[in-house]
Amino acid sequence: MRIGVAGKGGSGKTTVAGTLARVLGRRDGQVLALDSDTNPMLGVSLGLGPEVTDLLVAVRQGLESGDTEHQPTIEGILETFGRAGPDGVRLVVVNRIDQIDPGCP
Amino acid sequence: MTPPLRVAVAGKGGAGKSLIAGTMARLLARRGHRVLVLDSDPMPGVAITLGLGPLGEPMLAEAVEKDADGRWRLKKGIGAARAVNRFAFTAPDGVRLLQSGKATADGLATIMGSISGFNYVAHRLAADGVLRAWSIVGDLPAGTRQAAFGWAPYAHRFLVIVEQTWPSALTARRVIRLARSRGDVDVWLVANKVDDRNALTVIEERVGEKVAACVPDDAAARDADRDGVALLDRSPDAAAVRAISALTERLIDSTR
Amino acid sequence: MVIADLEAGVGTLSRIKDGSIDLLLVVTEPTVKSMEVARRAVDLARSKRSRVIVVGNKVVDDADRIRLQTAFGPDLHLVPDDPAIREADRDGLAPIDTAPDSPGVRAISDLATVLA
Repeated sequence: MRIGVAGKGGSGKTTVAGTLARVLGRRDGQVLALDSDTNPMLGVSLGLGPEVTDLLVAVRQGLESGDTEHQPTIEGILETFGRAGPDGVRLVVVNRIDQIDPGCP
Repeated sequence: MTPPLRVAVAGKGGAGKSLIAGTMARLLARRGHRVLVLDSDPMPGVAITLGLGPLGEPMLAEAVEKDADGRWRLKKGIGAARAVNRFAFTAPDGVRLLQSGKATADGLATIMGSISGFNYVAHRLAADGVLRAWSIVGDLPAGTRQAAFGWAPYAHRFLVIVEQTWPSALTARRVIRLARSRGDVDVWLVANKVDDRNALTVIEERVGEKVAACVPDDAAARDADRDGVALLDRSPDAAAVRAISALTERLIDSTR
Repeated sequence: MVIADLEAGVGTLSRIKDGSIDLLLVVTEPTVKSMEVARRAVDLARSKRSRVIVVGNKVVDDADRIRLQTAFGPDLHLVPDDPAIREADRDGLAPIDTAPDSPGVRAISDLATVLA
């Protein structure tokens, strides 16, 4: 199932998305959490902490500056731009969710 | 009259940008400034805190047309000053509001003309002779989108609004970095919904920046937000209003 | 199972291909601005043939509840205002770790049962 979480900034959408991801992870064993917000914060609500959350954003932004390499495979994407969190949740900070292309997150 | 202020207000969604931008604009106008508010957020915001209520169709769409290459531009004879005169809404205290289109169920495509018109005007404001004497308050879209900074070329000063949460502090960090990358701007970190000293210290440590001003947590502000009315109109003596007024005075003093 | 935290507002939502989201959760507070965005998101989701559940968040009292239910119908999922969630946010921690039995956290967790 592909779930999207939307709402005005500050409404609590990220808290809802993160908390629900953890619950679903406990229930199903694994969940893929995508943070496509231009100001990524999902890592905090998942329990990964602010510093890890900020680090993932920096890695993602590194694509633009050339410090991070594009990943040609899904495994590569998960490896480079993703982080394993509690309860079987894997978080990936992505760029544009309207153009899901395995080559470019 | 004191020199015009050129301020852009940034920060995480829900931090209080629109409250501070809208209230400040009204207070500046009461001090005798001619004030233009620029709202480039595709979500509803500062019209409400200015006391206008939710507004309809963005009139700027009438100011633009597509050229032979399919690019949007202002119609002939319409410059920045005329666009403001004809297409800006008028709020209480004479504040003018130029608003970019608000995204609807049809998405952004239908308001691209309005957004393009808005950007065109925003980029020409600094150069326009007529508008040189105006104070400008820009309410930027939530977060850290790079384009948001491209949309505030008029700003000499960025007010970065931060709350007590970690996500808000992370956003403030990112926003300050982006603002400073322009090189010629002054950044003021404003802590909103904050009452105690400890919270301030924590914010300063997390953001890596001194807090320049504080606005307290205010039940009246929450009520006004719930009902979609201007705090300044419903509760003019509210603590948050007094704090925003003090901040406005300090901004004015610092431009003398 | 994929759960995507979308960009604040409706920008991304408007560009997403029809049918690419099975379920859209639209999170709103009981404020005029938040509800306006939520209304637009619900309209968009319907036009893309996605199932929608509206989540009314930070509900303080009956007035809030009525405001939300009037706008989004009796089926909306309510989440009470919860100081424990605010505290978790202040500390940069996940509410499900710091306060798993808190009313707000419970209400969000209950969404999982509604989803199937």
